Amino acid sequence: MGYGNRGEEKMSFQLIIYANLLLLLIGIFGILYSKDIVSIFVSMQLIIISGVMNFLVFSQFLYQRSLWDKIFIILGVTIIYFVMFCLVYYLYLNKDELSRETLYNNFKFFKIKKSDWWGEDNI
Amino acid sequence: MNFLFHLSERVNPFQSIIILSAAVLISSFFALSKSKAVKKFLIVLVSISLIIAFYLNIYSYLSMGSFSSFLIFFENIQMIEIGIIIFSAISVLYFISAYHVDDENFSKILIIFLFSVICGAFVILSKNFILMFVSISVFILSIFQLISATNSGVDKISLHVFEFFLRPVLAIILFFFGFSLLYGVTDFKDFNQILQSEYMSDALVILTLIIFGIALYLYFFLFPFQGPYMRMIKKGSFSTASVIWFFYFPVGVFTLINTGSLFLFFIERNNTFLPVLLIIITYFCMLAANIGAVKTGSVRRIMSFLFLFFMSIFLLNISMYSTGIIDRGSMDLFNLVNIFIILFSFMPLCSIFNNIEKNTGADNINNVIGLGRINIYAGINIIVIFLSWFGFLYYIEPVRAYLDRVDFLKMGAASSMVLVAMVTGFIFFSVNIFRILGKIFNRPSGGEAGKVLFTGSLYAYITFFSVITLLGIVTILLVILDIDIVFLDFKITGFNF
Amino acid sequence: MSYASQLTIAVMNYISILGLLISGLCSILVIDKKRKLLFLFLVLFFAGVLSFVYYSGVLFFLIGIIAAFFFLLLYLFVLQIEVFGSPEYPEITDSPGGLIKNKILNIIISIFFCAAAGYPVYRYTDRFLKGVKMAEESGAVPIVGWGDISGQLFTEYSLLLIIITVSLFLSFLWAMAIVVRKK
Repeated sequence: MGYGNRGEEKMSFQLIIYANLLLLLIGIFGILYSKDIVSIFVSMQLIIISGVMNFLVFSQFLYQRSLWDKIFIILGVTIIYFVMFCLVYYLYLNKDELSRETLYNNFKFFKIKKSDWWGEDNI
Repeated sequence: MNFLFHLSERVNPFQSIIILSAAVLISSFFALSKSKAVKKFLIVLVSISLIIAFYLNIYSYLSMGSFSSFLIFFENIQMIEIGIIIFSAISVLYFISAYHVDDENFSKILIIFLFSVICGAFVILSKNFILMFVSISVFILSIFQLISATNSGVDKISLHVFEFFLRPVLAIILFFFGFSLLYGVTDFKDFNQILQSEYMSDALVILTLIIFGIALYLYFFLFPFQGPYMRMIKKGSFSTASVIWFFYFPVGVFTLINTGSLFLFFIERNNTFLPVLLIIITYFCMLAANIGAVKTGSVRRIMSFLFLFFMSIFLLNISMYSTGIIDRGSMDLFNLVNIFIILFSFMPLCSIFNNIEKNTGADNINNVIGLGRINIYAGINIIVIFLSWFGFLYYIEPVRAYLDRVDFLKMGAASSMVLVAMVTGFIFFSVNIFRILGKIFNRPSGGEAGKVLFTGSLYAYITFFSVITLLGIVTILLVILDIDIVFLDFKITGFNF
Repeated sequence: MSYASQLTIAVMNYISILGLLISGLCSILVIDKKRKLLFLFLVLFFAGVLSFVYYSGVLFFLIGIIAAFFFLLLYLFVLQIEVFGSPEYPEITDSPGGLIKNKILNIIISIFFCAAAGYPVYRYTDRFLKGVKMAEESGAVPIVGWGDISGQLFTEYSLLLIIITVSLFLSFLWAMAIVVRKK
């Protein structure tokens, strides 16, 4: 981490990159495994944080702390959180209790139903 | 006039965006109004601003040529794409005005709609990664706000709207992660720089493209992830389908076209895995879309499935390019033609089927039985519109040219798979077309089709598209028959395979 | 920089990364929604510490405010269901063992897809790390401040700020449109 020889730096850099990718995989696992909307949002946060860490680590080790990535993080994360805020706000205002509770307890991100492929969908 | 020209030069190429922004600004003063007169005024204002924006978009390119800066680039492709988006917006305005003019939030809906057009234009113009990412995120947000606002009166729709928009949100999060990986390779800020550099073959670039590919796959709701899209279209208001089909999907397609060079880089390097994967996905999507359309009686679901079939045609074009059946220029041309076929067929069909559902009160294919015989004018227009779907016969020429070049028995496995996928897909597609036409021109039964009334504006709307389609068919026939007609210095027979 | 401060930063780095991973995993696996959000808060906290470790502490404040709003709304949503709704949703299954079987199948499928995604991610990352060239370390440690960021933001990226601001304004209109209907 900015001290010692190149070998130590590279090892530390490698460790951090692998940790970020592990965080990404935890996020993907969460999206696939979760059965409620809160877990899905949590998993999305993990992927976002993994991306932010990638930016910061690459900036630190490869570009000697440039400015472009900070601007990308600020604008990108602002807009992503804003979009998610609007989604949750829409959910929060939802007067349909059954939908709210379905999302809260029994919601899978990737759900494959027969009616999505053929036949009728009585919704 | 000189002043206007100088002003136009200064703001080039944002002229169309500035007009639309001015319309947003003026409309925002009336955002809280519920008066009918104000609503009519806003419809007129938005229509005029879209028409002027359409004209200025073409004018700015023709008078000032290409433009490139740190953030944006504006070339002939961008001009065509923005023109298509603005044209689609005029059509979507028709649907929103027809079905939501009595809504107390109509003014707000129009403002959000105009802003989404502006965001769509920015997505197409963007060159810099930050602008690209922010514009696509804000575009998805504005589409979400538009759909949720137009569906606020629909019972039990919120779950489906929410489910639908979770996918593009995940897509933009994956884009964000992909850009972070790209930053690890190089600090270049646009795709053209990376394409022309030595970094193109870097491992992280390949990983980034995989992530972008997955994100785009989620964005387009291709099989097997089509569920939320099908449910939202089925349950949503009449304007929902128009916003998704004529706005959301085209902007995604243009994003794919603008970043397609990166994916094509690996195809052109004779990568064997990527073409085979593409062909499998194409075949799967084409088959699933057609079978799904045949097996359902709901008109909305039929049209939704067929729309996904048209989306898979883009994949088919890329597959054909990857196996050498067509060249790059032909692939770009076919993609453009596909967009035109989608817009010029789905717009009038969407309006007709919405009208039928509104009059009969049910979403069922059996409600159209005999419509062609009861309303002959509508029937003729429907035939002309469906004729445009037979425009896929344009694939015959390049396939024939390919089979002339390559011995049929020595053709590669990948090429054979593409041809089989194409033939099977179009056979199933023809079954769907004949099924719908058969119902429309069958003997009337039940009397449902008799309840359908067409308004004057609807007749004008579908006639416009029928005329354009007929002109297109005549042009193509002239090309095929090699009859040379020069029209405005443009040779009709200028296309070659 | 002194050896002691470098060591401190290194220790903070590794502890934060470990904390991030453990909190992240706990936030996915824990069933109670409020505890999930607690672990998510810890994740955001450790991410904030890491931003300081990488000399970008200003990001913690800028993004933290935005993340806090989102986190607050998510927490309000959870509270709304817990207090006013029915938090428990009975899982209907044909056989008593079906529930456990479904859960195990769910975990196996998720892990399988993660492994399938993780393999190319690991392979390409490994290839990248073998060939990566680190930047030359200069003696001074430049810390990015708000002045530097705002300078570039307002000169080169002012267009994006305008787009985001207009989007914010229109979101107010949208919020009014969907709230009014609820009445």
